[in-house]
Amino acid sequence: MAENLQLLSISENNLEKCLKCSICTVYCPVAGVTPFYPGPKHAGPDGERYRIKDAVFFDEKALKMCLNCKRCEVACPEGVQIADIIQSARIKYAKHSPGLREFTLANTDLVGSMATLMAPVANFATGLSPVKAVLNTAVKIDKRRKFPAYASQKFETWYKKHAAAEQDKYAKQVSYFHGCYANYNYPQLGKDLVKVMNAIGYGVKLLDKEKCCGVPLVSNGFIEQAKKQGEINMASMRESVKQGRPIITTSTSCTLMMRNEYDHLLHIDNKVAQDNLSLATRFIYKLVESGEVKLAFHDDYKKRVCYHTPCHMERLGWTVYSTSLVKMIPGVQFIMLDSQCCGIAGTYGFKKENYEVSQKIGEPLFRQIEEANVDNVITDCETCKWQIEMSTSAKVLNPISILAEALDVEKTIELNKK
Amino acid sequence: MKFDSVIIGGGLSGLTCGIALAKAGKKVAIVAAGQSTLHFSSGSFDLLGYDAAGNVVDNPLEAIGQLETSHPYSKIGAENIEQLATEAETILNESGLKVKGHVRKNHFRITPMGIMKPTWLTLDDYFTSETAQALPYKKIIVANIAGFMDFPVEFVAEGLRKTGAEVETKILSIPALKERRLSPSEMRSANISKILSTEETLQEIADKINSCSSDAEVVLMPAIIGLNNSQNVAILRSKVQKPMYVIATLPPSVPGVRMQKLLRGYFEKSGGLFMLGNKATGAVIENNKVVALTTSALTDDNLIADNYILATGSFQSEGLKSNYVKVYEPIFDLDVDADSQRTEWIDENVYKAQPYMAYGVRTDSQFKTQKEENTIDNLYAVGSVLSGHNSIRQADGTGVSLITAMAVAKNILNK
Repeated sequence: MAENLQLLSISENNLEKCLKCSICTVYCPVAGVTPFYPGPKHAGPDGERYRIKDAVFFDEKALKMCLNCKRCEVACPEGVQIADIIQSARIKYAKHSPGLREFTLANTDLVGSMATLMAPVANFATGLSPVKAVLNTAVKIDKRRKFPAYASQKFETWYKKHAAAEQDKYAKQVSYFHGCYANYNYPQLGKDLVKVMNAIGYGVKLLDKEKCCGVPLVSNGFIEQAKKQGEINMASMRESVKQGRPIITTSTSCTLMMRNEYDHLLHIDNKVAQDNLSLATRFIYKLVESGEVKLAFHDDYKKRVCYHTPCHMERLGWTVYSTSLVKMIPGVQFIMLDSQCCGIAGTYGFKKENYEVSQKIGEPLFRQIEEANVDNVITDCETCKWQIEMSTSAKVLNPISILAEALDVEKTIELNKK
Repeated sequence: MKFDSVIIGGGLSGLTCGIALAKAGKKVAIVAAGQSTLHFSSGSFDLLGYDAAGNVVDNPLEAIGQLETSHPYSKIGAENIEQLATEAETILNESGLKVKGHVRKNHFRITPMGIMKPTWLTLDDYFTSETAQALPYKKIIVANIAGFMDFPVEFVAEGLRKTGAEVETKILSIPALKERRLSPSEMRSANISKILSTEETLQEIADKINSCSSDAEVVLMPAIIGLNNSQNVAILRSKVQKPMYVIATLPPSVPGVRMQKLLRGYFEKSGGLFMLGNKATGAVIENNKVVALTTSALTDDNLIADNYILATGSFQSEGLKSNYVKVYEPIFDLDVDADSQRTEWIDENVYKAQPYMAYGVRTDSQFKTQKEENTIDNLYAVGSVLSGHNSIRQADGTGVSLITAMAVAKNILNK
């Protein structure tokens, strides 16, 4: 009885467990570079106590400065979900309706579809100074920011034309949640994923319906739309699992959102994702570790690489899978970078008012990368890739892409035939 | 995933035990639910500061022989402590934490409340004294940063004056720190240290110190420099004309963060895997042996190891928990040494020894734990989660963490 009472008193996002120790503040990348952000403790649990009493204490301008990198949550010894407290407050109390800029940044699906249709024009235009000037002043997207290029052919289109037909010949199957980035900006990642999975004997299917996971929608204030899309994704995943296909992804932020945040942030039933959604690197590593799958690599493959831990990878706690997998490649010389935020945080760094904070946060990481003198930076996050490629001389790859590069496909197929 | 040893808890005890094992060639993983209480560090490591009667201990090694048999040190045996203490000190030094002090002679540190406390080892940039009654300096300047409230400068000055020293307080600021005050709640040690991390800001602050300290023999500052290593402290000290030392602040402790980072770095360099933000949630125990550990991040992927080490800390770190009816260990539900009557847990006089401070998991002479009175042969406990010592009354917390970590590493390696 007594124990039950205590269990009942657990607060939302573990708010009541905050001891005010301020350890979160030590690891907040924003508080470290600007005095205008009140820091995770203050913006999170401290502020929440006031907000519960009266919404007048909701300081939209300050809370908007939170990157949602979740390093505060990883650091918290008491398990307080600090970033979720902040995100929930923004969902609950935000008064300002999102504008054209937020619409453009948030609707990766719609904007991506339009942009891939006219990719050369879009890429050319977003690189032009007059267009950048308009974005800068009218839309308030910082003109110093380089836009990620759009691909001229969506991954989905490529898949249907060149891959879909062969997937049924594999006895084992997975579904691939490719996300907006692989679809619109970098289909090569999706192609690499199909190559690797096919080599180890897995067919790759797409979900019946895939929508943007909702990360940019939530951070730009389109909550209802995020909920709708989340429900569609979960329904598609349930169908996939019913047909015996677990779901893999190549994006840490999509994974974290769907697997760890849909339930308490958007109140979507995501049990299917909790149980069956995994990063591809984790999925493959576990197969290799258990001996179910063997990998063979090109003998002459040689590369010096460093790994950057995306914030949401840190929160997932799955860094070990991606790094262990890359380390399996015999020709790879591996360097682990300090785990720190690159500053982009999805669409955050695109906004004019955030540009300088964003670059300042990333500075130590950029320096470390330049000093590492590597062939590639490896990371599991697409927006980290944009930020690092814009801010350093490095070329960034997803672990799946380096695996695809190094993999001896014929030998691997041979090894896994049994 | 498979390892030789899996350590639960990434604080002082877990890290140093992990380093000792990894250095011996073992494959070690640490799972840490969050950051550790090293972030509250005083900058010192206490072996034994006070005896059972509350008297200051001069020679900790000697006094350890007088401790009750239930104390973790007594299980190791007083004659073995010196060797383990030396091994712990070596690990601290090798990880980049330069310390001063001796196992046979306590020295004194000063708390942010201005109290002199006996201790074993202290980071070498800290202010210390051979005795509590007299300081090595007679004219002292205590310089705080304007707007930094986690350093009660008048308490510190008052404490120093009790030794007969002449103490002046100064408040310093530079433009970059003034800007930081725009968010007064974030005028915290860690944020200040991020500002005082460039050649320019360190020069500016050194100029301010030099311009107000011409009469002083020594300048004392809050410990707000050197989050990642001690390099910035060295730079500042080289720019300040008078000898300069730091004093502990209220948390978060900048040198504590440095300890955490350097020890983790050394552990990883020695081949260890550190998983932050991964909480141990339960275990599979068969025939009095742990066969698998489950964690929050690696769902459906258990951690398998020959040996497991519980280094989860005490109540603050949730290594121990309590509800209305019992004190318990939350991961394995191990046997604990604690009063069964809730009324016995505390003494209503807050200044008296609090019984709950000595609660912890029950272990044998090897620090093997037990569950339902059966010894678990491959689950050891180290540090604050152990029963039988009161770190507030006896100033032995960090010592127990280090010494038991070394002892258990040895027990495992000799297995």
